[in-house]
Amino acid sequence: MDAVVLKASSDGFTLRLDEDASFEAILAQLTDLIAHLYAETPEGNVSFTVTTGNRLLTEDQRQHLAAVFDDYPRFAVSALTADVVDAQVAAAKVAAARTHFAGGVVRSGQDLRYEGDVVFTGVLHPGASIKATGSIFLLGHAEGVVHAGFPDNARAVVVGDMTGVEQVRLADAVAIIDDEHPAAGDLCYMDDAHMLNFAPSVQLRQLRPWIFDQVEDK
Amino acid sequence: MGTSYVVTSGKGGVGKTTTSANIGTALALRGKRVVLLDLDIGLRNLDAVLGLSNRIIYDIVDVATGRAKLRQALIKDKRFDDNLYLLPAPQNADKDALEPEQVAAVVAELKPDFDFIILDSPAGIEQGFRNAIAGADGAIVVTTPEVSAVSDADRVVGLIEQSSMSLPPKLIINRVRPHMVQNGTAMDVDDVTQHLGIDLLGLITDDDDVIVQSNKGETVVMDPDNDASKRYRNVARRLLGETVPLLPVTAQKTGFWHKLFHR
Repeated sequence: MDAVVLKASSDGFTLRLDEDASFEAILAQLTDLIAHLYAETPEGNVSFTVTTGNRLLTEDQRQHLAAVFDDYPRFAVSALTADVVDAQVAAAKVAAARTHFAGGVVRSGQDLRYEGDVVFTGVLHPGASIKATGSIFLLGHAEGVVHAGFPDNARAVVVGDMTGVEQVRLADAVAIIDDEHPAAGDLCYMDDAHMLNFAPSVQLRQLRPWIFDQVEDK
Repeated sequence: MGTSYVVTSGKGGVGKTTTSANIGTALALRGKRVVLLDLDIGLRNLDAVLGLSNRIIYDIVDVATGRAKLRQALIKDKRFDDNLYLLPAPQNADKDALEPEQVAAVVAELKPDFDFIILDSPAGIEQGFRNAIAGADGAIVVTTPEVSAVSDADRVVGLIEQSSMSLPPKLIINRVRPHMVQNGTAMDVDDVTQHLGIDLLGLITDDDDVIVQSNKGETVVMDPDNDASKRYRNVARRLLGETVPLLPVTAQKTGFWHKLFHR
């Protein structure tokens, strides 16, 4: 079996690097193949998608691969894909898709951070903060800063009793909660005009339906 | 061009933050533009004393490191027209998150827009203290009439004199208890002033209302009839160059009827 296979599709050309072949063999065959193709196509720019199957190239290997194309200015690699991802990247994705549970006493100066959604059952003291890339559901007592959708997820929401908090933040917007501007509802969301709004939490079903449909969303 | 003062003491708990807040509000009430800088990184209080905690979005470290613009971080106290601003400290950082040069740069940037820049120093004489004095033209040393506080104040005055500030340090003796002055058990105020050898800027009596107001997020200066308030207001007038005599310290007489109904 060839270490490098060239395929043409409606999207352009794909170079499939065999995951069982040694990288040296791939590099040698690729060098020959590209030289041959370059000679056969006297004009026009061609870009290739390179796919590596069940193998992830190291940074060093990627540089070697790029070096093969350096001598052929009309040829370029538009994308480098694989059927697998790094374990760390995969773990982070799984963590972000999970709903986390946080509790206990969070004291002034402490800063809880989560990837994904959080259910908070503890006590958040003034001067403390809880930040999540997803939504935050407050079941406990919060008096500090509650920041959902950190840093830029405008679809995230905060649900729960926000009457005593210092601030509610969604993505890059801030609502200061005080006597003049109380939390007027147990749901805080960002509208299409990028403004923070409060509403009764019963409206969450209409405003953010995908939260109730986790399987479809993720 | 404004003048910057650091409020410092060496010892903790003598009332630096309360003094900063009250002098700041007193100056703002006299129509001066004032900005208060909280330099107690990691243990901020000035925001709480002024009732501005929930309005903090950026802090002085954000400004110093370029994450935020100065005007984004300044919090306006709406009670004092356009006269009183706070630049808060972060609560989740270390004292070392700031360098003296950065504080000096922030103060320099504030000077054209404000009459007074008041830097609230943390207790101690380490990095936080060095940060606080770096930006100051003058120092207000706060002490209480106690041997431990006076001893720490003496040490601090020595450090300030080495730092070549353009104005000489001034003294505030805080928490003077009228009944102790009355019955002669308090440390003599003149002795304290003479011992430290710097000008006395004011004498503040120990007043329950200072704590009551502070817990409400207000300063006692906002109550014009209070004794401590009058004294803070006089401090402000002296900072503005007026000659104001010291108010005498007298214990409130508690008569028979008062004792009967106010137990």
